[in-house]
Amino acid sequence: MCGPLKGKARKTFIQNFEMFRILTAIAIAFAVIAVLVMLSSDEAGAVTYWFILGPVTSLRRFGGVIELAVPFVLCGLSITMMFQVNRFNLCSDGVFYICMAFASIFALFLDLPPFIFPIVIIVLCALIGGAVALIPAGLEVKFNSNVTVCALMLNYVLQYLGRYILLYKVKDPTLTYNGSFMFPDKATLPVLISGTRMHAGILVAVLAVAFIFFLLKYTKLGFAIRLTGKNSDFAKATGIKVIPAILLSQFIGGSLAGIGGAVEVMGIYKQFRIDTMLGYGFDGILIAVMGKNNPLKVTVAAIALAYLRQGAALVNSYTDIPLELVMVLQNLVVIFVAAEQLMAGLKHRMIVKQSAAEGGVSHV
Amino acid sequence: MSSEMVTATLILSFLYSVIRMATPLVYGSLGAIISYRAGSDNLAIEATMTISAMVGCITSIYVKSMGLAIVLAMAAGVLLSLFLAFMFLKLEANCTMTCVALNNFTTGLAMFLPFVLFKGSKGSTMGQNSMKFASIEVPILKDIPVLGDIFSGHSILTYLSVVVVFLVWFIIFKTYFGLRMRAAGENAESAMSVGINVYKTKMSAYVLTGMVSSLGGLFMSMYYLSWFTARMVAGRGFIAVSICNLTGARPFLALLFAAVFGAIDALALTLQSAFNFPAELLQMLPYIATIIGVTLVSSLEVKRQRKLQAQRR
Amino acid sequence: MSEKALEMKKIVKVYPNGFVANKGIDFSVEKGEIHALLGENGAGKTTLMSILFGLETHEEGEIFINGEKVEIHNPLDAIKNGIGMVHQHFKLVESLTIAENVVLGMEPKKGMGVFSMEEAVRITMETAEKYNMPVDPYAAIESVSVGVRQQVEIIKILVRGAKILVLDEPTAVLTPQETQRLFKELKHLKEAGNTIIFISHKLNEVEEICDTFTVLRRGELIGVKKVSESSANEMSAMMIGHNVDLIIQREEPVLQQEMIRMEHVTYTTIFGKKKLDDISFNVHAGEVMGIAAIEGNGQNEIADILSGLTKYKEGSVVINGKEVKEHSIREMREAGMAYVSNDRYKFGCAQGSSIRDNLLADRYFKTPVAKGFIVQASEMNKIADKLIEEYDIRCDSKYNNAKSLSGGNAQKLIVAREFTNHPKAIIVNQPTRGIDVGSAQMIREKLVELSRTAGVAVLLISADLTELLEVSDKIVVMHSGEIVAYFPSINDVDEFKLGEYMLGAKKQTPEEVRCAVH
Repeated sequence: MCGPLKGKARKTFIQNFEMFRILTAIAIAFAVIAVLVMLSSDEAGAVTYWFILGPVTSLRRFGGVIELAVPFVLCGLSITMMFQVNRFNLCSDGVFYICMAFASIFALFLDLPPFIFPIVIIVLCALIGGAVALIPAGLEVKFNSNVTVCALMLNYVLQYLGRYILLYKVKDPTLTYNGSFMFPDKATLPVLISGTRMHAGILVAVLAVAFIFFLLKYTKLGFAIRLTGKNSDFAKATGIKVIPAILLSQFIGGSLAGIGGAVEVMGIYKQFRIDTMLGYGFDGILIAVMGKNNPLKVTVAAIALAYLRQGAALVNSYTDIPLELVMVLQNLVVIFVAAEQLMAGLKHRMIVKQSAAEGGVSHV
Repeated sequence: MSSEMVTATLILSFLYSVIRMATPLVYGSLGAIISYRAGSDNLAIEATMTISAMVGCITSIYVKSMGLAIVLAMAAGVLLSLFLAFMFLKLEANCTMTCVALNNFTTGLAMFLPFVLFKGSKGSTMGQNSMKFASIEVPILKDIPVLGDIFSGHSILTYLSVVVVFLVWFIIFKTYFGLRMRAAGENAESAMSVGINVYKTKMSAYVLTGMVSSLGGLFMSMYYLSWFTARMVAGRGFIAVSICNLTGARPFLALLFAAVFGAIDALALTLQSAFNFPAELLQMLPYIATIIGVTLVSSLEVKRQRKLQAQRR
Repeated sequence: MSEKALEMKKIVKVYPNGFVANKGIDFSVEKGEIHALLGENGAGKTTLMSILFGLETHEEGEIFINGEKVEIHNPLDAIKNGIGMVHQHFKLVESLTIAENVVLGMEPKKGMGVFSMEEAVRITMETAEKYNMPVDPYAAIESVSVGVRQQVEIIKILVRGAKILVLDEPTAVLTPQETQRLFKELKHLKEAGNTIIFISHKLNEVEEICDTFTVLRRGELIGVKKVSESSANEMSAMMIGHNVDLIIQREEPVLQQEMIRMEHVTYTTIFGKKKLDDISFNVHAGEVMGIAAIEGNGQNEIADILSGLTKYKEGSVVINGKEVKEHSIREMREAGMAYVSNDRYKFGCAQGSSIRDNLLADRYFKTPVAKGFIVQASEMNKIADKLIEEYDIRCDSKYNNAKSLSGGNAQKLIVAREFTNHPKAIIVNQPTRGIDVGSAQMIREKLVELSRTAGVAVLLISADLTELLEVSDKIVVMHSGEIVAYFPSINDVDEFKLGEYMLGAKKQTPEEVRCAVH
């Protein structure tokens, strides 16, 4: 029998190993992609160039990374809040989309003073998003139905509802494509840096990160949510009201996706278009998993994914490889990172070896 | 044409499309049922159907062989299914998370591959010359009024689905493999204690799942439409899982429920074409029905368990 | 008739954490007898039987079946050697029928992989009828009672050719009627030439059906005797032994106001099994009351009801003047209730949370930690550091997960929290089971100290009689959901006496028991 590693050495070893495991997962995913690219393209060199360096070749291109990071951060936080209490409530994508639709209604039918207008829209969308996320969460709490199935079905419902709003409520008939009237200027988010589309939504994202970080780390509610997620039986035994904690975290998760939708439609498109069901809600899964449910790490993961996406978009424009390759890549990463036992054997051997090196092996 | 005639035609075409719409759901739910009996909700039926739809369609474009298209499509479905099983049974990945990621992975692949191969529009084989299952006019049946209009003129896959329902039922409930699979799925520890290789049993179940669900995928790209698009399965895999839950994983009941969901689907189509009702609202129906159904069944299941406990005294 | 059906020689089992569960045990059973294996929890009986059944590997020792040496590495080897085990938790598949469960893994086939239900039914009924166990082979397990399930387990191992049957506390889950039926069946099995090993700590049952008994204590063989040449008193003395080194110095308790009161509480599970039957007792501030009981006799239900985790319908439970069912767990905790569960990792801590968060789980929401809706990290750290120091929780950092703690330190973390949130009434269930001696002693000393200096009412539930006698001022004994004895002073009682009541060999009058409320 081998003795356990002592204290700090053990902790850093496990952290390092975790990092090593994640890097391996990413490497496997990249290898798969490399094979796919080589098989399907004769411009492998160009693909590599645009993919890796493309996003930093101009301010505008780099701006694209930041623009994309905004919805990614919000959706990553959204999923983080869902996972915080171990619920696979994957309705964030639908919520994101439907809140784009609702934001367009508010923008076109309400009339409020500038500055206040977008804030009101964001708040309304946050409430709607939270309420929608409570549907699958509530059904599970009350009737024990499968939260993932309900949430995925809800996504389809929301998608059609969104299309309905677009086609029957806000559509501009003069357009050659399906799109709403353009939003009035005061109902859009201003561009922060000219020459890019980087808009005030960045501030919203930063605020959201700060808020969630603060909420989880420094508030009573955050404490209750964290403890409920780690062990709900124990949380109950210490007097925490478990069900409200679960529902609140889901509500906040939904709100974040809702804010994401509102910010995206007011910041980037300034109108609602049918082709904007973007799957950001599902990207949030990767971001949350890579960010290990820590709002700051989630931000890093979101920017990394945005960089990857921007690279892919450039590959898409300048070579014969389409954007969707990244979707293949990132989901492979999720699967391999989720595989707890990936290289478990190696880990065990390394622990034994390290223990031996430290003289920690004892025989009984 | 009198208005009665119009209504009658409408009803007949509605009933015809119920069967048509139900077919992929039957295959999907049978796949889900096998996985469920082997121990877990398989939310990756969506991916299994999508990948087999794609592989089948693309094979037929290149090889012009229906047989090879079917074989390769099924092989793709089985591979994906096995990959999922390996990931969560052996590498202990979270099953739900792996399924969701696999679905998105497949969607990405389905957008990417057709584009690379045909340099056409993304995620679609439209414009390519792919093969299609024939509509079979069943002799005698086709000449019977009403019945002929409804039951004749479907693809071979539709008729085959009834046979597959029977086969799946037979495997699950009448073979020793089915017995072991149910035991392993419900109580792995008990199965192991009598010497059953639980891992092997479950992997075999996932092979079956892949084979059966891939037929549903083939139906989508090689009969329902004569081309493949990346999002064509459109949540049918999830509805299939719900049908599995709704029926308590019973194959024959699943056939019935597939028809119910097929009817909701067909109703949406019919209402839309006949009354010019907003299609978007109607298209929500099957998904709303699923949510309600899943909730209903789970709450009934809780009650049933309570009753059983009370009965034992 | 001295043919040995089974011989286990010099069995040594050491668990990876260094705990020696079997210290060279010799155990032998003659052919055709019912042999009782007796011992307290942790005496090593389950380990010994797990080795026999191939669920655990032993470091030293040999096993002989019918005089031949055998190697048993897994349950299948055991079955091949004719050993069958009926576990306490049945290994049956709920939705399958009885016949299907019986033949699972050795299914009769009609060819082409088709399962033959007719043959399965025939196999089941053949054995069932032979041993007079009338079961309905077509009934699903989920619809039959616990008694029938046990019969199915017995049929299952008989069908597999078992000649040596191991039954692990088979009567723990049965009603008295079912127990009587089981005994009849066991006698029948014995007459048919089978050998039965009967694990139990109910002495009346052993006297009723066993021929011989072997007693284990703390991993060692204490003795083997014929039941006819012994008595319940002797058995219980052998099981419990004598150990009266009281270490903790205690003053006489100064009784203050009543803190915990249970009155006429009866509790029936949703499965319909009566777990508590008209329980009444009270505990005053300043004293420690012990509950002595063997696992599964209702003591856990008492703890769960007092902590608010289990809802009771009949009777009244009052802690510090508040009726438990009318208040939330948090309100009860604010009124001074503290709870150390026997299920340390389920109800006692969150292993995935930091040590600091675990220490503050019951007070993060109030001053000085919370200010408005904010929790102040500086205050949390201060409190956590103080508790870690005071309770000597050995860890590298308070930010590490509780998972990194050893069992003893995890328990110290739990008591550090529960003992320091201004408690008025502390319920502790098995606080020292499975932890190192030092931590255990510290927890016991704290319990006495709290009752004497802080005026806390302590309710200590334990199967460790030494501990109970060391810490308690008065003791109630529970057996099958009832209070069977009450001792107002521990001077009148010793381990032996307690043992007799715990094992159900003796019972006080209702009047004496009623004195538990005073």
